[in-house]
Amino acid sequence: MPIYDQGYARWEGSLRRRPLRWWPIVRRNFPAELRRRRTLLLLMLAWAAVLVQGVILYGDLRAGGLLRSSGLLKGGMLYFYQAVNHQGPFVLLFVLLSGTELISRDRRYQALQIYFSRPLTRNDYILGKLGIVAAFVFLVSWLPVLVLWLFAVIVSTQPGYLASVWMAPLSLTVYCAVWSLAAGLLILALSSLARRSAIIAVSWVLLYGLLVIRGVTTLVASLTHWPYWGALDLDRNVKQVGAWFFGVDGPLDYSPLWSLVIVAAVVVGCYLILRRRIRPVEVAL
Amino acid sequence: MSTETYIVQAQDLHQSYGPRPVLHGLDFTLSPGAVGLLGPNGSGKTTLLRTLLGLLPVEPGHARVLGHDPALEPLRIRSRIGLVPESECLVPGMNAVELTSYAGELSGMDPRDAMQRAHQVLYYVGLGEARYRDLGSYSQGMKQRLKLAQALVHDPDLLLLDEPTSGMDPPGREAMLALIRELAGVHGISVILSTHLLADVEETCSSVLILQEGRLKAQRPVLADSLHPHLVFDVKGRGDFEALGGMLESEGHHWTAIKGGIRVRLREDARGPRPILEALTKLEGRVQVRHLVPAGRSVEDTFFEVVD
Repeated sequence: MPIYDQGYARWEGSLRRRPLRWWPIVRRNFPAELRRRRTLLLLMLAWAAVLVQGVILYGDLRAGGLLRSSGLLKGGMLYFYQAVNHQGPFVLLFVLLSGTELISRDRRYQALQIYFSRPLTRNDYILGKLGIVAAFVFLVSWLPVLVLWLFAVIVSTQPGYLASVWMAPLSLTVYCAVWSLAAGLLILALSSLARRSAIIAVSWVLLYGLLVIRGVTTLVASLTHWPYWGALDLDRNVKQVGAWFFGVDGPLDYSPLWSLVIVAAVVVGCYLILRRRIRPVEVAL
Repeated sequence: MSTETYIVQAQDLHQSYGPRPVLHGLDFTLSPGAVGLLGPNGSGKTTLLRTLLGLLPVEPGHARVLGHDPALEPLRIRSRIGLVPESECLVPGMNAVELTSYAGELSGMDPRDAMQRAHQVLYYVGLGEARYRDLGSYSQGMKQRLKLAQALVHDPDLLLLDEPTSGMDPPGREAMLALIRELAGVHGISVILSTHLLADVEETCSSVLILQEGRLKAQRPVLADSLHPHLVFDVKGRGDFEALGGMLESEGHHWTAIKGGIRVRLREDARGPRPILEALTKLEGRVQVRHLVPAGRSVEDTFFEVVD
């Protein structure tokens, strides 16, 4: 292969000093993940689920709130809180699919040098990776439910409907941000600790409070009549915080402030793990 | 292009990994151009490069790279430096164009500029035809070229090359060295070439730093003594070289023992090796000469002189 296919030319442009140095990480990796067939398929399913909710809501609104008055459908803010929670399985799947290998793969292929030989800090790198997970969380929860809210506001003929749900977009945004932060940082921290995807995924499912943990904490809490066993279930604590933002009752029998403290502790813990594990220079002492 | 008088200045530069000291009080300045960084394995070459990039805190000591302090302005330095790391480093799932343009964007380039520039530098390093190929099918030499491309994409003022010819076949190595020579010599990009291959430094660099166990053992131009090829000679063979040295010394010349013979530095008024030949004649066969050549001190000579 000839080495001099083309001579070297100095670049006349100038580098931008941008505050969002992490943005290229999201901009390049999110669309790459989005182009995968399994991702597109899941995305379609996630949006189809919201479409079904929209059809039911439309029918109810056209029927003068028949389903709501009969208790089959919740009204007001609770409806949108439940709508976003119905997207939960998709959120969890996307966090697993997009986040499991985000850091472990970089460490396996020694790609961290590519990042840290550039004008990037560790926080930029973490933010960029978190941004990829958060983009998926927002794409399957925040965006479809926001569309659902717009749709409801437009088609609703009931006076006062908008006044009863006007806070929903803000609550939804903050809830999805907390959800992204907790679920995303946890998967990133695990991705920085282990190299095998299966181990990362199983650990995340267990630590996030799903399956076995949820069963055990629910059982023990009911047997001991002590609700604080729920502190071990991160998923329900996130939902409890979300319920607080929506102004509705959450799934746990203690103050949402406690849930907020628990979620914040997990977020800080994961961030500290990431700061410790992600190093521009790795040296075996 | 860099306009600084010095690309790197180091004063009493120390570095350690935890309790293990790696660099011990380095003092040096590097002028623009191509500089070789030589040393045995574990001598601190890679650590020095990482320190200059601002990836490791300087403790204690002081350094300036392209006029900036790595401890205070690491991001500014990294935006002007291109690193070719020693180890293989790929971003999985990307081909060469995507990886190189991604590196450009991470450096602060506009996405469109980064993509355009990625094509340019990939052609330059000889990967133009292979730029969309799966990186898994790349040979070691192609991966080395790709590492050079991603380091060049943002047109740095200083290139840090850590073992850039490692694992390359002879033609690939020659091509890589030719690129490095051209970048430093024609395009004004300063280069610090860290390697344990002495020949790579001799072929590409104008000066060399030699490290051993984290200490600076020598800093010199690559072509130091070869500017006086008519004054310094290596004489090797069998016989009484001390007698030959003594005879030359009595006539005002200097000599030192080297492996298999002596190195003679003749008086300034000498022109050619005639005094040596005359001394050999006087010794009447006590010395059998098999090797009499002008002795420009090569990088290899210096290296083995200063490295224990």
